[in-house]
Amino acid sequence: MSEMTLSEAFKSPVTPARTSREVCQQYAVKALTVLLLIICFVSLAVGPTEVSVSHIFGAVNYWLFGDETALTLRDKVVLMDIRMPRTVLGCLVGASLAASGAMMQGLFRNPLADPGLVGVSSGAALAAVCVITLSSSLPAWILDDYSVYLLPWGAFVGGAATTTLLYKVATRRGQTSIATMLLAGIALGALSGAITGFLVFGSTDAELRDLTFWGMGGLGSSTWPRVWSTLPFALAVLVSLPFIAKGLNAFLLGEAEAFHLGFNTQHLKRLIIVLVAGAAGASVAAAGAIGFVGIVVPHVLRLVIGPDHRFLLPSCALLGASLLVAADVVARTVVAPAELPIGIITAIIGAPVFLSILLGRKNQVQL
Amino acid sequence: MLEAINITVCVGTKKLLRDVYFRSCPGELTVIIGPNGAGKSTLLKCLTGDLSPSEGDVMLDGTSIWSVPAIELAGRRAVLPQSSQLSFPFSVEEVVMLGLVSGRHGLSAKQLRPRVLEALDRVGLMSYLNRYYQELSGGEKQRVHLARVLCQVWEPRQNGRANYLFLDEPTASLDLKHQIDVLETGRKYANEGGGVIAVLHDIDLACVYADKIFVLNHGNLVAHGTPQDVVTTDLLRSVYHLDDRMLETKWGHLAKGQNLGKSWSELRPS
Repeated sequence: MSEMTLSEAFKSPVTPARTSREVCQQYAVKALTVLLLIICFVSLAVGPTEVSVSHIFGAVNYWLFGDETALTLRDKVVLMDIRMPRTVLGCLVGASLAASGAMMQGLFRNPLADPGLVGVSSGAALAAVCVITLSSSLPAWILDDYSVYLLPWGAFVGGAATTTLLYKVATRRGQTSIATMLLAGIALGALSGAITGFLVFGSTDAELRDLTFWGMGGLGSSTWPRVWSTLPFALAVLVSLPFIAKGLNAFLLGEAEAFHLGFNTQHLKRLIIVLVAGAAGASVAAAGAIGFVGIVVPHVLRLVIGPDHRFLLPSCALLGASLLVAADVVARTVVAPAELPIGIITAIIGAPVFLSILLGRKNQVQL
Repeated sequence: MLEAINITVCVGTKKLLRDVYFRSCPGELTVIIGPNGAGKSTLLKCLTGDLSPSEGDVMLDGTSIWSVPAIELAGRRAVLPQSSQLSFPFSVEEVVMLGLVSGRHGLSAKQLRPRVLEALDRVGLMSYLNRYYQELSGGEKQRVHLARVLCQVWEPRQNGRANYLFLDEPTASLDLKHQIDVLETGRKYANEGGGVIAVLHDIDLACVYADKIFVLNHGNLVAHGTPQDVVTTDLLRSVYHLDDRMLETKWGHLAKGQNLGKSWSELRPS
């Protein structure tokens, strides 16, 4: 095509007005960042102990710059040792879950794929339970110093194994069948559940207490070491988002089409499987199996800003973090001083959204 | 020039292609025909680099296609798929923009927007720009993808080398007008110096638009050359197992002329 026709096209009278979707894409990240900051602030402020607003800023100041002038000792403990790690962990887990949900939906080319639903989380949980019950036979020095890191790595391996297995089972001749995948996910979930139950049956009281935590899910036992052990997995996902966004867009057309568009589909697929397994594994290790965040957040955002991953993935991370921290605030206030498992809150929001996806006309899902 | 040199493709013990030769030259529209299961799609997959043949090689301008990185290959050839499922709410414009995710040659999205508009105009879907892709009919979806692959290899010739456009049964879901439109688009691309390779079932359209026809049957190349030389009633009898009654039903008096290729190529638009 010659230069002339291009410049003619510039003059073409048909230059449609910018769609509302484009406007939303532009402002989504900024707006969601503000939302996340507000929710984090609320999360730091709300709890059984009253904390003044100035002390919250003081704590952030102390955390970032080591300046503890505007902080009492009591508030320092409440904020720094309890609420701050809890909020930060909530952000990491929420961002990982939502972003890995969006990535998995791109990989499987279906808006219903979610690490929680297709058994990746239960695979990760099984591996985590294995770590808990089998770790008593490890030497004491490993347990003392590294047990907090063993969990996420174990869960990561479990998640990676499940994701790879699922992809292999559900893909025939380059076509991934979502029906096979969901059904295989049910089977894998049941199998993981059975083995988990078996391990629980033979565990000690102390181990049992640890294990109960996995079934419920929650941020109740957030500590800084737990934050640090989750951070690398969450960071790996967040840092890779801009690099895989275009490839995922192409992947939505199909695997062969993505190759025709110039992407190394094998590399991309492996990278996504590793990242999703890492994110789901670390989230399960840190907060138990929390469902639906990976479906609800990408779905809602797709309705507003569209399925383009360049905008969708960062927005998912931000909204996922906001949703989980908000759900945690609700979980620890509605029945205070007791705490609801956070999975209850996310399921109450998530299950109806999941059903609405199935019913929705615009997003007809072909199994 | 894109060439397949004596390629054989085995899946298990079954040979999908046996010692097949293929050549597409710049400026030519080359059509692959053959009955169902003849190996047309398999040959196309080898030519696009999706499938590596068990024996033989595919050469793009003298280099083996397997040594060309995917990203570079994407700038040299685009493939219109038979059908494409997309279960996410992309707008038509966004789908066409996907053709530009690689091989931009340093141009920004803003600079490339006129290309998107012109491609949509060329397939007659300019007014669909902001519609949801999922709401379109099968034929409209196919045309959106045609616009997408046109965007991908916009210039038929670049740096003295031809780019290639692959059309895998492009007319399958289209009405008569758009069947002709898509082949006219391919014809134009070839006339401007690009190479076009199409798999077609419609022998009439193949004869009208093709410069060269390759006929596959049971994984073998049974004939190749210009439509006049290749498409005869004898060939249709042997490859498609058509009897006199079927030939008469489909082509009437033309079938008696013995050489359909010649009759049809006389109808070629100048």
